Amino acid sequence: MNSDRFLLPAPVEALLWKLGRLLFHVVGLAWQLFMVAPLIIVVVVSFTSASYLMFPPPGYSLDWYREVLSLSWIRSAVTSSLIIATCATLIAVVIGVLASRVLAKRPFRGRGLVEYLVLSPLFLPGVVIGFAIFNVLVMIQMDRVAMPQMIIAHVMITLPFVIRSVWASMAGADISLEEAAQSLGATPAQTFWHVVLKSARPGILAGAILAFTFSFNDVTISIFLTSSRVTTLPVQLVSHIEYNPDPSPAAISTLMIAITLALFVFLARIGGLNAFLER
Amino acid sequence: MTADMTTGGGSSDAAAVALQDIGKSFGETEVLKKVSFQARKGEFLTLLGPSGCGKTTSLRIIAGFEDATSGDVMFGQTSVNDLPPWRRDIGLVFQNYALFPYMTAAENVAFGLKMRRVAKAETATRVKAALAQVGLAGYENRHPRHLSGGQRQRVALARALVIEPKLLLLDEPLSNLDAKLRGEMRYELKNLQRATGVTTIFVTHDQEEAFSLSDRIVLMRSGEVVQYCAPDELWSRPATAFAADFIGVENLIPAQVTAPGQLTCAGGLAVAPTTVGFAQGAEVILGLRASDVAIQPKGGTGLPATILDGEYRGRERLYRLALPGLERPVLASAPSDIAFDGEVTLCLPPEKMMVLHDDR
Amino acid sequence: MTGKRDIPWLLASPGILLVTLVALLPAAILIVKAFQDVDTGALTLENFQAIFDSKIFGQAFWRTLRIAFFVTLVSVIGGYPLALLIARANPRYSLVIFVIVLFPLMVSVVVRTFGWVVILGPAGIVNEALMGIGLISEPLTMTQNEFGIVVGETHLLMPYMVLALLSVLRKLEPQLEEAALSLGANPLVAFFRVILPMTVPGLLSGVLLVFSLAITAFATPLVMGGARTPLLSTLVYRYALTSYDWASAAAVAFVLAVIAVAFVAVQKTVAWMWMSRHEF
Repeated sequence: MNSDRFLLPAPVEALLWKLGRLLFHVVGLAWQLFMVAPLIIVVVVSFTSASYLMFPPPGYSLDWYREVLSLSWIRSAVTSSLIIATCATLIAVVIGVLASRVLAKRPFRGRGLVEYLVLSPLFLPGVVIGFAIFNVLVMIQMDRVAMPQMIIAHVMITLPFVIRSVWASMAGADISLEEAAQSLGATPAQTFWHVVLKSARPGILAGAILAFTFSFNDVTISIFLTSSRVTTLPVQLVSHIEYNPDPSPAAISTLMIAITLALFVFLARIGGLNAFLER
Repeated sequence: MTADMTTGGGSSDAAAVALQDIGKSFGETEVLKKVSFQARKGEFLTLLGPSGCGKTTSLRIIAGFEDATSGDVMFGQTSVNDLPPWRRDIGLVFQNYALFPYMTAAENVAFGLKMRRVAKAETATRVKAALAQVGLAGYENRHPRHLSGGQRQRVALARALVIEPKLLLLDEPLSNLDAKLRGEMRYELKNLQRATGVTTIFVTHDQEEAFSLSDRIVLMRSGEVVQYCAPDELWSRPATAFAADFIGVENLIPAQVTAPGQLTCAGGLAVAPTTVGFAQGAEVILGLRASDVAIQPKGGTGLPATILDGEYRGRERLYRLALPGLERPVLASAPSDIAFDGEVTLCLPPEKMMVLHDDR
Repeated sequence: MTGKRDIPWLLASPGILLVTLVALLPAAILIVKAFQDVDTGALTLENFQAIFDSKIFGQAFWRTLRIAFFVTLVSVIGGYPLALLIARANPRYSLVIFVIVLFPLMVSVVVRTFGWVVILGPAGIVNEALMGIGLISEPLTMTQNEFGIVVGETHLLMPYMVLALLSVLRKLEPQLEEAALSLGANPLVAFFRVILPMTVPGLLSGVLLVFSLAITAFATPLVMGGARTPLLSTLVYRYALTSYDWASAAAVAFVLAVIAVAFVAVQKTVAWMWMSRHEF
């Protein structure tokens, strides 16, 4: 027919097509490298024997791990970070499960409002919330008792993660299970405990893992609430990176990557990666 | 060349499309092993076989989406191995229709013409005609999501046919439709193909579709052509036990050639079909359709048998019978207006027996 | 009957109460503070007047938008092939890429940014390599500036772009592309006429999400940008905790919050409009 619509001879176009597909895969590989590069570099650098940051390391040792684990400020930061993240996660799960139950069960007047209210921390800039909380604490002169305030603030920022995850798993649950339980004589409370919570367990676990991770990693809110008494590991890390260009942040970072990896694998095992795909 | 495999003649220069010794491997796995067949101009050729037999891969190689590891795809006298899909002038209909969801039916059909830079006015008339041809006049401005499965199928057909392709490829186009619609579409598909005279290659795993639509059938299995012939020949003379089984021959009985024209079945029963091509002592499969086994009331000439059970199938009844000298029951069908029970006499006609190479 | 109707609110009340008391109310107080005179408490616009007049705010404002623009751009450039690859690769490879994209999302922002400091720093790999092959004689400055922030934030936010694109790409059958090719479209035409139009909703929601997150990102510009390249978010922090100028901090926070909320509103509206018009 009218082959003049083709600019190039057929074999050339076919070849370009193949090259294009190859290029596409190469580009995809390059961006994958971009995503993993900073993590891999940090891990490699943490085993350096040098006393300053350089790549590739001149030699390998565990010096910086020994150094990091012996520092008291790191140990106290890790401890308080763990306490804060654990408490915040537990509280956020309880509050979040109740709210998710409301959102997932059946439509009611004002459900949209409830949804926007409980998820609103996601829409406001963290630095604004952080400063706003700090401002109020100073106003009511409670800026000296740090741990409870820190925990409450962390419950607030992790709550949306719990709600989204639990809500998704509850919304997918079969309502006839509840009806079956009630027809077998279970009270609403028994139904909630034995049926609703059981079937939403993967969602609750996934939400708890995400909440713990984001609480443990938070910088934006915590940096406003940090005091001489209570500080968190990421906040300490920020100031350490700023003032000490040695490889000790790499060692801390590697430990954090290892913990996150464990949580990530657990999350993937319970099917929680789908939580990222919904929305 | 493949001419020796064709039946009913037809010189090779009349072939519109030919696969010549096509091999295809994905890594270690060989999915096509020296596959050859051809479709004459205007022919309706069916690639039939179970899933994984290589029929879809063959289709994708013809369309240009996959490169063959070896061999040539010929359109007429020229190899198209180096021709990318968009230059092959092929109409393609997918199992899931693959209509562009944000385009109307008319825009979908016009796509191929737009790519060919056909003038607007001509495009409009051709699109209209194509939609009318598939019985969808008046549906021009519908989006695919507002069309039923059958209507989507028709739009997909119109889209593939409007470009007046050299070749129409159909990849299990009927399998997403319900049974009743499938029957209707089958009929329309055949009419449309006759009317347009387009050379067609149809992929299916459904033997009924293959028999009712095709001029010739390529029966495939594990990347190889098992049989390549007209439907009536496949029906009456399946080449192997696999072919017989696939097209629904009910009785497949292991047997051994004891003498020329003599078989002994597993269990000891001796029968006398033609055994040309099989050596004495060869292990074979004896194939016999249930409809070719005649049941008579007890006493006539034939073999005594006992009815185990009968299944009502509407016009006929399908019986399972125990036959002395056979390990497994024999299936036989008889008109349902007479109900047999207990002891009967069976007639196994030697001229209907197929002696088959066991390749299952 | 009324008792039953109250149950939703009762169960949700701890959550609502917490968010209201800990986030919304403090935010409201902060907004009021932005409009108050520091000494008298009278309502005034002079806090805004002050920051609009200051050179540093103007610089931070445009820098924030500029960086968000580039971060969004690079996220599209990198996110599109990644998402397409996840959607089209064989299941195993697809899962590998998916994990590679998702895992960094759970790793601390500080750790990720620190990784880039090591890579891009004066003695980092990039500089060492470039000097090693003799392309440059002095180390390039790639940290403590906008370039570093763009790289760090892109790494931070590209996963969100990939996820947004995946939500539409996963519904797009590969056969559509093949149908276009069989109808005579070359691969470029097939991409621009068939794939791209169908991914516009995901692209748009990804762009809006990444842009709004880039505007409000805090830890990355803090670690990567240093004191010389403040953005709106780090400016709030500096006014509040370094120079104790809370009136200015509140005013900047207000500007930042308005931009962020406006973006969320646009994003939700666009998503809603698209859903109601084009559900396919």
